[in-house]
Amino acid sequence: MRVLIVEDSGVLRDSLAQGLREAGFAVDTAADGKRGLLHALTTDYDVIILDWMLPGLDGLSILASVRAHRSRAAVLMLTARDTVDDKVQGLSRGADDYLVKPFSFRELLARVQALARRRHEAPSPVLTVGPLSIDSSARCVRVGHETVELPPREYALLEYLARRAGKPVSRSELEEHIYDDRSKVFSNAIDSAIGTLRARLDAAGCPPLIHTRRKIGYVLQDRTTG
Amino acid sequence: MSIRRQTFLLVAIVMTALLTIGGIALLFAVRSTLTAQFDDGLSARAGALQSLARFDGHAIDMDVAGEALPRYQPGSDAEFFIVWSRSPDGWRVVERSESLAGKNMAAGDAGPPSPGYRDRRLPDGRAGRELVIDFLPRTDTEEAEEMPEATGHDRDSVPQSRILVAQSRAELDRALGNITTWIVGVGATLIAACIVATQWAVRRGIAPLDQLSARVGSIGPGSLDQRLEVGSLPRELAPIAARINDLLSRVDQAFARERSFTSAASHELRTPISELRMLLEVGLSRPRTPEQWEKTASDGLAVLQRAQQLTETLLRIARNTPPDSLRESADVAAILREHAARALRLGGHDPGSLVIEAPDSLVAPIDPVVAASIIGNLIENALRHGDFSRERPIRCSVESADPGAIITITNQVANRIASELPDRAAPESQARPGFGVGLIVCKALADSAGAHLSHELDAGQTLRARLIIPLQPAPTFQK
Repeated sequence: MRVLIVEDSGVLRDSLAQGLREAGFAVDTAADGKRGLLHALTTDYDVIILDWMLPGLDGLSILASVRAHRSRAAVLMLTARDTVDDKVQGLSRGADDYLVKPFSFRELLARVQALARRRHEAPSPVLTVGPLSIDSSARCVRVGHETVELPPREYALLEYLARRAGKPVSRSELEEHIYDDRSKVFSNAIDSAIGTLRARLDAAGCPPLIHTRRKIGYVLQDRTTG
Repeated sequence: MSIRRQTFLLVAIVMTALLTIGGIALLFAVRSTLTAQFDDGLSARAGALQSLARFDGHAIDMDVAGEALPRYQPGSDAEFFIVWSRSPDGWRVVERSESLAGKNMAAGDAGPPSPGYRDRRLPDGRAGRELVIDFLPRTDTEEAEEMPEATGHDRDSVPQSRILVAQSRAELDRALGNITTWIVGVGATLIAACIVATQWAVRRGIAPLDQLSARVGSIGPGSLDQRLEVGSLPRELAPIAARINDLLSRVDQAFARERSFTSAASHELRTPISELRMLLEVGLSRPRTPEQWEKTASDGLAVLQRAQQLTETLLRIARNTPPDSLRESADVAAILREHAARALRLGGHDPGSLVIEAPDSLVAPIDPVVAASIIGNLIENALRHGDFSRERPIRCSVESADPGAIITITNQVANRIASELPDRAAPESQARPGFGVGLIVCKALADSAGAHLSHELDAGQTLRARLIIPLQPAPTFQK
């Protein structure tokens, strides 16, 4: 899942980005409104965390532009403005959620995860494909009753494939949602990560679920059940 | 005790006292009149009896045939008279009415009572009233009037006589009783009517005061925008209501300023709190290396230092400690340059996007910390919320003018930011928080230092913030 944080407070922006990265998200950041809008319009983000009062261009203007470009990214407004009118204004302009400063990181993380689920039309936090189950809230992967430990990047890859289970996902789409701007992505990075992921699942006794579609990408599908 | 009750009691007591005194005075007047009339009757009777007495040179004779004077006959309503004549041996009864049945009306052997009117007990036991007068009996009508010397005894030889006439005062007492009853009855009725009328009048008279009191009582902290209707009030209460309205306006404005200030201060403190909370929560979310903790602590310390500076600014405003500004002075041109350079550097902005027009030095009588806080925040706000570029730079100027030092910061703002600014037509309206330390806080800080901060937003979305520092500041604190 790829997240954009548009926040002018450097300390807050860096802390949020660190926490979300450690939770397995690919995170881009922007310190002002114009850069934030540029990111939002050029990258397919799953969730945008948007401050209201920003230098250059305010959060509501960014939100209006994002919605005008029919972006499907879920937007979480993050602001110190706590009146009902403010919340109504933010939500009515197209925000999907609203969080008032100061807030708990756990709450923000839960809201970002919920927004990401909603974006992929998966109401339950547990994704199941054959014997494989992924608890996106606990970030836990199980094959049957056995827990599989996965590094953040591989977990993100598996979760994204699971959210698109049964549908082929291109390498570029995977790259866009798994890696952020800070990552150095090599041309075979996705193939390499898929190979490692397959090996870990196989070691846990999982039947082959990740299938290659030539010239398209990959699909996560349980073919044993037809 | 309420004014209505006090007024009612006062008026009722005064009215009751006046009516009572009036009733008593009337009663005495009537009693006196009736008694005088009664006494006139006694006097007439005495005069009539006196005219019947004749002195023949040896003795006094009275022609009082019983049938001629029926009222002096024995009976239940009999009247009495008795006539004495003075002799060398003392007073001697000359004549008495038959109703006395030979009794004397003198008290023992003391002789007849002295002349005058007085109440007494009649021989038959009834309450009565008597008249005693002295007189000289007639000797002979013709001789006494025409030739007194021819009779051989002049008026000096006529013995002094005294007559007592008495009659029952039952009718007088009955009349007095009836009148007393009437006066008391009418008086009590009048008092009761006065009490009722007083209560009505007091209630009606104080009704506007009651209404005013009820309206004032209904105004609370949540309804300070209510005002009293002055036009319908009596002339005496209208000035009070007008003053209360003025007071309410001032209290309402003070509450609004307080809310606005508190909101701005609270908003400004939320950002450092959020930053600290995120630093610590993310830091604690998983094991960290000492180097990572060191960076977290360093970042947290920087946040705390900024929060401390903000808190001190707010405390300075809350405590209203402007005296420093009277003693100290600051080079506002240098402060402007220093803060502009730092803000450009920290924000990574193009140095050409901010133009400074200021003399090398301009010293103004203001606390350097306060000046730095205000100017720094104005520049920070312009850089954070302004729509600027090298072609449309932010302009900062410092000049010395008649009112004092004037620092002006002019920049374009985005439409949405402009809508968040306080209404241009209502300079006292609440500014939305979110502009650095906040316009409200900056304004309060400027006020506390004896300076004045204002802003203008023209139709072209050009925001002009102006800080005027008088050469001789007169601090007036208005939160």
